[in-house]
Amino acid sequence: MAQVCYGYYKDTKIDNRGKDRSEWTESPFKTPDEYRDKPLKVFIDWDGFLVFDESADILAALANYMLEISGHGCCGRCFPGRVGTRLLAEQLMKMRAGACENSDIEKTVEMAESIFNSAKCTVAPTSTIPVRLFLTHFKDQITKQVNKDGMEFYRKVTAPCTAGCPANVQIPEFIEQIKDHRYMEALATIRETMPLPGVCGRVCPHPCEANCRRGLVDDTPVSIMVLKRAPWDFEYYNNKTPKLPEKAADKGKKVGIVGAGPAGLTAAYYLALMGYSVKIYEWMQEPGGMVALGIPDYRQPRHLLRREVDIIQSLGVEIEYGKKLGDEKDDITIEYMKKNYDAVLVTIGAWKSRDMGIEGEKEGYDGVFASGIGFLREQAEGKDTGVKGKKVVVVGGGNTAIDCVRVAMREGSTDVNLVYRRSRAEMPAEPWEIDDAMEEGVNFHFLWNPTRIIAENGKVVGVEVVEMVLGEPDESGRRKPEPKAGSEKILPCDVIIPAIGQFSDLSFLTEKDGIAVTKWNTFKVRDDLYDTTDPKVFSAGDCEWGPMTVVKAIGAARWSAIMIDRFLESGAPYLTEQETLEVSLYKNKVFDKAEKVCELETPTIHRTHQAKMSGEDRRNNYEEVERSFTLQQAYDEATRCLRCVRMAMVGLGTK
Amino acid sequence: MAEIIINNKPYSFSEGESILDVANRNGIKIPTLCYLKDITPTGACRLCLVEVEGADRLQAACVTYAMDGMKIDTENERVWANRKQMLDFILIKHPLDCPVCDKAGECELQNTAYEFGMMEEIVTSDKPKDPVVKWNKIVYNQNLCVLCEKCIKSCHEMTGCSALKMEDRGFFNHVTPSRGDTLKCDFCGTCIDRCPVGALLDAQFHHAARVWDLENTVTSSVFSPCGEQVEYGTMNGQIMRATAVGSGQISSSDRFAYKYLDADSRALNPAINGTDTNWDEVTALLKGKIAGLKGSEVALIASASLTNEAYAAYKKLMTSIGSSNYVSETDLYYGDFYKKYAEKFGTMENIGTLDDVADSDMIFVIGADLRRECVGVKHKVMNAVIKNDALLYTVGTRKYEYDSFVAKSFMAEYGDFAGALEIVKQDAPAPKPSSNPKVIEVENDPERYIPAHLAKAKKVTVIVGNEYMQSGSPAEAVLAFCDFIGQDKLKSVIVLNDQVNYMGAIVAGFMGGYTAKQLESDLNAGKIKLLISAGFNGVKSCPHAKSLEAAFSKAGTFVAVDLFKDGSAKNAQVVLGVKDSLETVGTFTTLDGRLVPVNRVVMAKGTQKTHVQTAAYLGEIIGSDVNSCAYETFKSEVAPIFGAQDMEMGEVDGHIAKVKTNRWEKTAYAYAKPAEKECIMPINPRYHTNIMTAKSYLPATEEHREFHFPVVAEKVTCAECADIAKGVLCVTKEF
Repeated sequence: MAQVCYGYYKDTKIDNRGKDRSEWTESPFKTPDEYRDKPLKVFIDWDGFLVFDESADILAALANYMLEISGHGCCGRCFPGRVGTRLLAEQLMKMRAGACENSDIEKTVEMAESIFNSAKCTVAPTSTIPVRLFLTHFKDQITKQVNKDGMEFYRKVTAPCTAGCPANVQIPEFIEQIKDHRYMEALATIRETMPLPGVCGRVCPHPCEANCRRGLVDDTPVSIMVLKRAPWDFEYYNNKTPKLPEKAADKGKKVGIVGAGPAGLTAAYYLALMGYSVKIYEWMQEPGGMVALGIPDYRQPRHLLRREVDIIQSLGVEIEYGKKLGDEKDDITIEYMKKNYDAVLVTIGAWKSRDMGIEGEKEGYDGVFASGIGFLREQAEGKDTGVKGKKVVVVGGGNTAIDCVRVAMREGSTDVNLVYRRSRAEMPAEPWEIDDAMEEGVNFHFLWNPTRIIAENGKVVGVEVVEMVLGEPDESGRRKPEPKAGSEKILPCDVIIPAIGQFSDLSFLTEKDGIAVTKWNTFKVRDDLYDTTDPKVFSAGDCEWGPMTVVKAIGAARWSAIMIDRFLESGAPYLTEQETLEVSLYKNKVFDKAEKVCELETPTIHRTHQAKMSGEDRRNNYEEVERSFTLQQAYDEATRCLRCVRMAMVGLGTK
Repeated sequence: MAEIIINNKPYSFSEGESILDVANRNGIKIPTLCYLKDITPTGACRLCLVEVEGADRLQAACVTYAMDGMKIDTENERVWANRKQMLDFILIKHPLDCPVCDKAGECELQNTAYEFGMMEEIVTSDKPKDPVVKWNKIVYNQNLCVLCEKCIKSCHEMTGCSALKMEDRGFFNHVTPSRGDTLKCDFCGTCIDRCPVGALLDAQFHHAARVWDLENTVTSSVFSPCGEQVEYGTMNGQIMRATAVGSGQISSSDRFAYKYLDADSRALNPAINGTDTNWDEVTALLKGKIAGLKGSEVALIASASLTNEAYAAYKKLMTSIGSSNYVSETDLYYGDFYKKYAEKFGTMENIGTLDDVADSDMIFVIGADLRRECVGVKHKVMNAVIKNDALLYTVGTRKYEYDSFVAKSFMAEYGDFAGALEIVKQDAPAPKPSSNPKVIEVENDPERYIPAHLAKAKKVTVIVGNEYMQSGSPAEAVLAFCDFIGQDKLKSVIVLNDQVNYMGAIVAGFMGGYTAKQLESDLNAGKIKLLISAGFNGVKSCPHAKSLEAAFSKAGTFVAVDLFKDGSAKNAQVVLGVKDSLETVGTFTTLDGRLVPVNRVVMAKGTQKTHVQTAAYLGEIIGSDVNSCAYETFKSEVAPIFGAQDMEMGEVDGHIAKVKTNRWEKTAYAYAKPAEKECIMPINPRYHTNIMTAKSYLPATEEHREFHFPVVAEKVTCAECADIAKGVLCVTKEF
């Protein structure tokens, strides 16, 4: 970890100038001390600056930071941002050349303060922070003799929401484009890092919104997810031909992908754009993976998902259906993929369900479903689930459990129940999903746990449940439920659907494959590089990270595509200097609740809500529950964005 | 009620209003440079910074919503220090060559700097030195540009052209054409009018005159039937430039075409057989030829761009000699259509108003090339799309330049508009039987078809234009389409015409009686002893116009009352030079039936009379009494049509509208597919009106270069341009 000589960061001055290296302070910004083998000398961001080498030319670094802010970091769409930062950079260059008097320094600080006070977004104001901290607290350093050998500078523009999004969508940019009524441009911005905006505009749990600073001002963050959907829906409903980036020249290499879920599709999209010929093998008869067969149509209409896949396939991506990865008995093997492709990406998801581990689960009773996702899949494939007119109990507290009860409702079950062993607060399902299910008439039974399935003549007639009490927090941080002795009772029912979690089935892997698996039954890959223990085989998505969100799979898959490209172009995956900075920023988190910068923005109009069908209207059909924003709604909501864009920069020594 | 406190005084507001909105409404002055009420606020200039209690940083009033209880200070020292700093940022990088800048005298930056009392730059820095570029009729000086984005946003949000964009980031960003390296837009110049500095200039005005030397006169557009107000700046009796008034918009013709007044072919005096003469000689000649003619022996065809008073005077002339043989040129191109239109609606007037168009939530543009036929209507359509979430559908022989704002464009292949309308009406096809009936395919999604949206629409507009008329598609097809939309939803029907006062001719009774066809046959039968052409010039590519003009020679005497000696006047025995609408006073009727004023901008340079005076003059010779005063003609003939008997002509301001009524008869129609045959579609040269094109009245010499636009392609089909429908050959319309 890097050691700081001097600097000012998050209200703390660090000054170890003249001291021995061993006495330097550990960097408050977690960063490697080398970026692609080049020593880190200076780090500058919106919280201040850090110098890791006493002789580093900090004035050059600050001037360069301001120049980069002026020429790139700032969008140039406000006067102080566009011109003010430029003038500030020019002033710093004058200082470095020694052509500066005390009054010039004061003038520069004044100018910096004015930019801070006035600019439109956060880039220009935050960029003045390190400059002002330096000129105020390290004035003596201005005239110090430093090593004027060149440094290499790398910068990264980001925002709290962007950093909070696993796919790193440039959220402030596309929101700005919506505000300008430029929907197709907004969509192009989203597609730079997210090729499934229609899906993620509908089903994403939107961690970006938890990182939205509007939420600190108004209590409600910007409705980023629904805004993301707006331009995609505009393209679709207005019959526009998608404008995708130009494909790079054919690289003459083939990448084989296993699994046409969000991860596989995402990687295919970016690899195709990079000029690779891409083929996906999919074990089901339909693209989309868990999105198609695990997320019901009232949340993600299938024809819209198919359209999204068609757009990706318009780049020449081939998908072959009905091909399952496994051992010799199955359709394709790792060996086959390696033989036929220059690189292989495995994105097979997590389709195996956990057992409840209770009596009666495995006896083959009529009315016991093997798993929640199995139940959802039957429905999604158009089969008769057989729950019509039945009393159904779903066990579990995640989004899959919620989808199961809502589908059971729509399939015509007369009485739908969800049994969860903890309280509502601990439910992993998104709170709005729980509300939606409640509105549709699902009965929730919190702090109950099934203990035994009761059957008569091979047919389920009920389930025995026990009441639970919450004890001490367990390793997940949630309070551990304990059964309350003697509280058993019987919940009569005809159907039981366990939906308590999934994992990847990697049982087909053999030692001969040479691919390591983690203790969580996922592919073992190198951090940020996505290669498995076989250099030719990469993995991303649920089978690499464990069951997680669509957006997480998309984010990982895009990175894996970049790494596959590096592997094929230069023999091994690596992070560039800029990517090292980017990843460091994400690991340090950009969103900071305590951040003082520009915090006291004024409150604004209320969060806009999209039209939604009532519980009564939607409970018996698969029509999409939530509608798009109208364009006026999208504009109104977009104006709530605070544009928290900011830039970080590193100065590196040349090797 | 919700209130905000500005400078210690409470003001009420409604949700969604900005601090600036509230301040402007209450006369509290907050400086701005990038704010325009008609576009989304940009928040670029930061001159509207105000202090909001509780907020650390200053807030831009234009983009900060008013919230209940908010306390705002618009005037304190901190606010002003920062506003001045913002202006300083601009001035440090803005060339201070005001003495040679065309904007001087009306430059917002100059005025603001003066008001702010800016004396010197706090730091010095190099001024930018980028080359000045010319995008066809518009000059862009990047050095002067302050990046306020008014041009980009007004082009995108008001004109539908979206011809400008911002390129690069930060200090290097600049305004540039969206497509290609020059502008290929409507050249309405909305951007020029909005530019606060001298960055965007009208190429014709560039270095032509100082603004303080101009004498300014406002009149209604003499090109557009939408009644746009145009301010002409004149110097020494010459028009130097034209601009929109206030927040208005004008067309390229308004802005750039005024030079036609000085064309060499202008008829400044009367002429006999092509030779200029004086009025006495013409009077003597005409007396001998036409005095005492019977009414039925006299016919008159009028252009669709005369003033209301001219129509009234000519009508008076005809009726007083007992002739009903007068007709508007519109009958030649739209006569058959209007006959059926009138059978359906009981009127030839348009239904609804331009405001209704702007307020619609669903618009069908059917066979109308708005850019070339009437850009004023396009501006209303764009207003509906941007400000009212309207769904816009085009049915045309092409995709138009505003296609990115169109929900779906339907192509009239082989010019078969009726067939295209059948497709418009279609609902989603029923899904094919599949293993999973709950899942549909994209082509079965009803939300991608019109009926689902029509069911939700509240206010629908149909616009039918010249392309439709030229295609030969049956009128019944589009009239039946009106039935498909339904009387309860269809609030405006606009039959579009590119002539400024076609509606004036309709309300004056120049349509629906005598027809152009009848005129041609009467001429050929030798029944017409005197033919008066009041400014009529047929479209050369129209065969009906051609045969009619050929028949003119059969008239005993052919008198052309015309601006120009060429065109149809070329074959007239007598040409009576006439004053243009820019050289006289009067009124026009807009396409939605409003009265708008025509004011004299320049004095005519010859001995011509006005049309009203000419009618009176001819009346005197034939032996009838026609008033030669436009003011009196207005009062006695025009005002009553508008139910404004007490109004004087000088009071006309665009607010008086004719009370309109219409019926609604169902149109019987069944589509039959015509044979597939190439459809030749004459289209107006981009900057039409027969003036500001390659066919300009000014010779295409280097001296007049600014007044010409090249006609880029004479002939285009789908083979050359994917945006053109199959089986359609677009050719430049000849005048």
